[in-house]
Amino acid sequence: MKKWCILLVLSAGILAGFKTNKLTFVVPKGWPKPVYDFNRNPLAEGKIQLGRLLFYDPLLSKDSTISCASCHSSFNAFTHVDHSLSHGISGKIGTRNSPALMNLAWQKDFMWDGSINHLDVQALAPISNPLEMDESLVHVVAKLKASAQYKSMFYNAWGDSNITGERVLKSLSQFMLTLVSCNSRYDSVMRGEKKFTTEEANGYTLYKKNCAGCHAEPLFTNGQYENNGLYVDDSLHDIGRMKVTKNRADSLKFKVPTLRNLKYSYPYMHDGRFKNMGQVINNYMLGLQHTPTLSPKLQKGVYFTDEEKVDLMAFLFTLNDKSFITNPDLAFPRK
Amino acid sequence: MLRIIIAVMLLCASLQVKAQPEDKPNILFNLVCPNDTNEIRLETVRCYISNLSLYSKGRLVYHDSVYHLLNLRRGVGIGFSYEEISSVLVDSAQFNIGVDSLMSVSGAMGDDLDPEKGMYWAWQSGYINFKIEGRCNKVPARNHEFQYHIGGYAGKDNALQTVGLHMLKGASVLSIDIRLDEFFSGIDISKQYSVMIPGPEAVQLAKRFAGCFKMAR
Repeated sequence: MKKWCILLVLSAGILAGFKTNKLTFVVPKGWPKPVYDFNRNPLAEGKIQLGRLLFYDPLLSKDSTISCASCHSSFNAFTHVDHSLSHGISGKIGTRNSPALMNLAWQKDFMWDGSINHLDVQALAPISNPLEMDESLVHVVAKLKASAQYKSMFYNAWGDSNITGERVLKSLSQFMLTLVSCNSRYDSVMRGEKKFTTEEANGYTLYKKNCAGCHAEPLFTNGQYENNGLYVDDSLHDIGRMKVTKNRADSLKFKVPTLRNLKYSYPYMHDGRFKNMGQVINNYMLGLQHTPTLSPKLQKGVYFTDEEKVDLMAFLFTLNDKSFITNPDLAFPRK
Repeated sequence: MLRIIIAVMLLCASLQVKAQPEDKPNILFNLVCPNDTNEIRLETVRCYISNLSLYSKGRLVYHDSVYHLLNLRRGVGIGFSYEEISSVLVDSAQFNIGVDSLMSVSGAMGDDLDPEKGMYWAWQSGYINFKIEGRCNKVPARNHEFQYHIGGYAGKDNALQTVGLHMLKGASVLSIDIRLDEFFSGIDISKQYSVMIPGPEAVQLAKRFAGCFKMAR
């Protein structure tokens, strides 16, 4: 009970800034400076709540059936659970597994291939993708203008009821910026409030030796693009980062995902090919494809004993943040 | 056939009408269409003009850092404070066609840069510097449609173009022609009719488009 009280207090402390009108984004102790420039889009309660409503509103899709949350549900660390490839409008199947959304203020670019260069413009991609929401921003703005509720919310958030694409996108950013996950068991250990078990501590050592090169603390991603040795799915032929840069050296490289909240965000990899973490670890041990762009960090392969696998899993479980996925401030806005 | 030619002539005639902005304009952009024998039917011509500088005898007399989206189908010109340089005869102008790399990586913008204006790529970040769309019987694609959505801000794919124009004699109003007839005369539209992504082809067309901006004769 005590530990949950501490977690709740910490959670409240981190999110306290979002409760007032003049808000400051609180950077957890020891974390790097955010990439997002808050001076260009200062946080405000009204804008966050507007962004939250938009995030959960299927109005953003062509036939009002798909919202951002359809593929980024709060209970699943803001991803699309149990679907290897995320599906959108009319049951159409996309080409990638939707990324889990968290700690976006520290993210420089977005999507598995980094094709989106700023959080503010990220939402444009799913809104307009014919397999996802199949809508246009200009139509979204027109639909919002016809809504008395949104007129009122835009007035409260932005000082007048003028609804523009810029304001829609920046409001969505404001909500997404509040998706901060920093209250896992690992975090409490780092803050000196708890101690790892022997297995977790062993797992932490194994992680630092074998995984931290790409999944760097405290975000558990280095934000870079790596080829982690996956075989190419013949049905997708996804070349990853190379599609954006057109550089052969980027072939088969994908954004390094965070290791936070793995318990809630399965399946794994850009195409959701692995249903559980056991499969992921086994692939690193036995399935690495030695293509020319394979990450140098994986050239020598990775090996864990059965005991080490258990310990590593124990550590990875310390990165799950239940207070994040159950935070009512981030959930569907009940009226 | 005759109907098509008449339609093209009418469209081109309407497009060649000089822009009439609300305020007293100091700078006007006029679209000059391809010869009707090319059977090119323009439907959309839009471009960003930015970082406009006007000079008089080598001296900077006006600078405008605002991004202007010109919808040339409707004939919109850039307007700015006439009084500011009313007594000066401008003899040269410099401006960018497109949106620079810094602005392209700075998130959602408003006014003419608002992504709802339809000049922002959604599948990959970045502005479309200019759009030219229409139909031509020589185009083998569906409905004979041609589409040029030209942009790109990173590295060698940067399609931003800077245009500098000079006149022998200064004037209080600059009239600039956009010679789309020259744009189309230099490309084989039966082969190059759809360029929608950043890359060498887009940069090549961006340079061609920039070369079409000329002081009105």
